[in-house]
Amino acid sequence: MKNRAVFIVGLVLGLAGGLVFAWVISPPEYYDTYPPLLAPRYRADWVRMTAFAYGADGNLQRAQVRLQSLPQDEIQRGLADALESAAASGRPLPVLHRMADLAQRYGVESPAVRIYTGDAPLPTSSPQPVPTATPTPRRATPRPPTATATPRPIHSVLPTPVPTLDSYILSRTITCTAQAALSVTLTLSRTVEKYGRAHSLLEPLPGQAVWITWDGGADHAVTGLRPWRNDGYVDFALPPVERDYNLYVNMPTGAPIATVRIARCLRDEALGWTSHALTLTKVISP
Amino acid sequence: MKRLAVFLLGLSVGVSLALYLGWDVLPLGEVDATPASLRSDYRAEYIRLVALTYTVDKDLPAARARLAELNPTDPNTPLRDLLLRWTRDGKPDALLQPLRFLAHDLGIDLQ
Repeated sequence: MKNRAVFIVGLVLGLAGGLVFAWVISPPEYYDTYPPLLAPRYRADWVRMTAFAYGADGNLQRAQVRLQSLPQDEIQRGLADALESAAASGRPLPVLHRMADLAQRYGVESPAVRIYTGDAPLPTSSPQPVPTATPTPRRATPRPPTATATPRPIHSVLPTPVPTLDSYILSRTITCTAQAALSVTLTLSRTVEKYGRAHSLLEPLPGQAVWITWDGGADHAVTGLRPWRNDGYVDFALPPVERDYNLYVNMPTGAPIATVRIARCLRDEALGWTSHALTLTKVISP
Repeated sequence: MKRLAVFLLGLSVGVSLALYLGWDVLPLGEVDATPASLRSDYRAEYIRLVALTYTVDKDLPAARARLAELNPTDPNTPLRDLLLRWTRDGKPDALLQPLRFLAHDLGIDLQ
């Protein structure tokens, strides 16, 4: 009986001492771990980086592998936060679209996801954009920066209008010219009722600041200074550098209205530069 | 003498049981591993994520801080080592480009 008591005393003391050693003096160290075992702040960063990486390369399979076995709520929170911060810092639209697409696949429901996946109603535009608001191809065709350049459309999204965040309908024509250029025409589409029928009127928008930003710089021009072209027209001569430009109207903050990529192209068997002619049509309902 | 042996037997059983419980079954708190403890393939993936993220957010201090989680004394070493290894292994350019981009901006000498 006494021996049993001595054994139990030894056992209890051993247990207590062993637990102090295992929990306090020498807690376990981990090696060869994988992302789900990371500390919460590193897991959150892993999810965030996965969102940005998907925004950069669009590799869905890779993104799914990276997020494997992570808690669903952490994934959703991380993807939503990453999208919000990317949008707030004005990342290019294609990146935001991809990040929103990934977030949507993981069940994230937020205004940013709805906006960048195209599921959100636009803030001020009419539910059905007036079909006649589509700019004519002539207006969207750019003037080359030099008299000798002959623009040949190499790609055009006309006549399909694309509603944008700031309730502009965007159309663009891309040509290959000797010098890189970007022109923007701002118009207002107003629907009026005449003789009981709805008509759409297109008016140029003068006095609007059009901003372009790029990594390490920004520039802006005000519409209406070239009335012989159009009161809503501005253009930018761009350096011969392959680069992405974000386009804003009035303030260069938040999500860009469009992202324009200037790249090399072939023009009459010589190297040229892509030039973009954008028409932004603001739709006002009666 | 016999009591001492019984006591030591109880003590050793208790210590063994406590170490098993404390390290394997009931480790105290959460598993708070750091990126430095990731398996080598996940470490490579971590570095690639840092580089891809940098191509989008252009946040060099953040990229440097993330790499420092792998090697606080020389944050550039993990990136340089991976880049040299993957270049030697003939990995595709699309895989290497973000790493080169970040290495260049961090001023890493790849010679």
